Amino acid sequence: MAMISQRQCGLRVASSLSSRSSPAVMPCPMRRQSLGRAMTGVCRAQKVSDLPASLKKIVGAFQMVPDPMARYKQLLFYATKLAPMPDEDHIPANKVEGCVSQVWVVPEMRADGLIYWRADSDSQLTKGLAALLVTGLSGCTPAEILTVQPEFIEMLGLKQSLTPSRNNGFLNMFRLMQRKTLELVAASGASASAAAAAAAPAGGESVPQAATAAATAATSSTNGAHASTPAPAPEAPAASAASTSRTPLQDGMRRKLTEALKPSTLTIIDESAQHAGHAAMMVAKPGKAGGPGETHFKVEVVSEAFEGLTQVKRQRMVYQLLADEFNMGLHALALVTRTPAEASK
Amino acid sequence: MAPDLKKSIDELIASNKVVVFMKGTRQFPMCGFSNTVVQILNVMDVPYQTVNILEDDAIRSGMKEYSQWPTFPQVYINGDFFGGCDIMMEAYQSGELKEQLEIALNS
Repeated sequence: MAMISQRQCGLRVASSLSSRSSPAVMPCPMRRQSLGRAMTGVCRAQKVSDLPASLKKIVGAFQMVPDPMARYKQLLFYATKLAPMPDEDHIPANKVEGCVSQVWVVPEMRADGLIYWRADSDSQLTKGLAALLVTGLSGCTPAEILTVQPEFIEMLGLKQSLTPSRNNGFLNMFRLMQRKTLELVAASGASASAAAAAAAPAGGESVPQAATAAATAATSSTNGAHASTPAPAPEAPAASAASTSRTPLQDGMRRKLTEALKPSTLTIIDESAQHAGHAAMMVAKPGKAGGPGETHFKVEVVSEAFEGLTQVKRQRMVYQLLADEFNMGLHALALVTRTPAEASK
Repeated sequence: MAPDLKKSIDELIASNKVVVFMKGTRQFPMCGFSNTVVQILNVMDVPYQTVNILEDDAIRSGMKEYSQWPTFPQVYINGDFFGGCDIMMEAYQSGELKEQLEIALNS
């Protein structure tokens, strides 16, 4: 089970003599996409120092408290700090799902480009949790909010004071805030695809499980969780008829693939929101075509053009057709390439 | 791609039955697609080499050209480009991966 690291002309290669050294299935750090040397060694557990300043303060405040009971009391104290939220914000769109109590969260992007939160709840405990998140995530950039991993919740040391459903509700609160951040960014960047994707059910986090379960279950595709979303359908017809489309990258893809492959079926699903961590990178780099939402897609093509070609050849063909898109910010494609005969099986 | 680098990639691929150019390492994959490939190979119980393309921009961009493939992971079996995550998944499910690995390991 030795790990050998060799240096070959600057190439570092890791091998293992016995594959029994494989660890238990990894939690998927998909959100922590790193970009070469710019962010080194990022795949370790998120440290307190990685958190945005406002959240760091809160974590610090809770970590200083010696015992769970006192932490719990501190949480209830936070509830009193929560500013009241106007009536008109108490709408279903702002409501956290899967929470025993009613909780609403509303983001606002101000002129400084930072996000500020309002929240409300009908129970003191969840009000405290909401207040915690409001304080911790207000005054942050969208990118900062999107790169926080939910593990920070553990750092607060509240887990044993809360029932499983409360813990779950807290997580859902945080997730909704991340989704709403993405929506805000998409809206301000005039891109519909991220908003549509954000409207999808809480399947965003099922992809890591699907990816790791895939090898053993060998049934679900890595992107199966997203298959049900109708994201492109309601938007596309109207959008492409308008003079400026809100999904230029996707439109370009559709056009090129249709022209070249004359497919009998072509499905393009925007899965960018499932990679919200990567999206944070897009947010940090404005100006790329297609706006923040158009980075990851699932593409299914059924075409006679694939007849007689290996999967590699088929996918290479698709990649070559979309070379420009890759230069414009397209990051990854999950591809299914079939001939009509194969598709009808 | 610099000739020296190309040479070492050529050698690496020629002298190892299975090579995965991926994001992260097999202990810490840094992308869902790379992770899936690692898990598949672990289940197949075959020895394999990995190269973390995130560590080196030259390798990251170079491999896209070398393989004529714009994404990672990239899997090489027996010296030939086999595919990315989707292809690995499908081959695993169909049994083709097992076949190809057996051929490779016995040749």
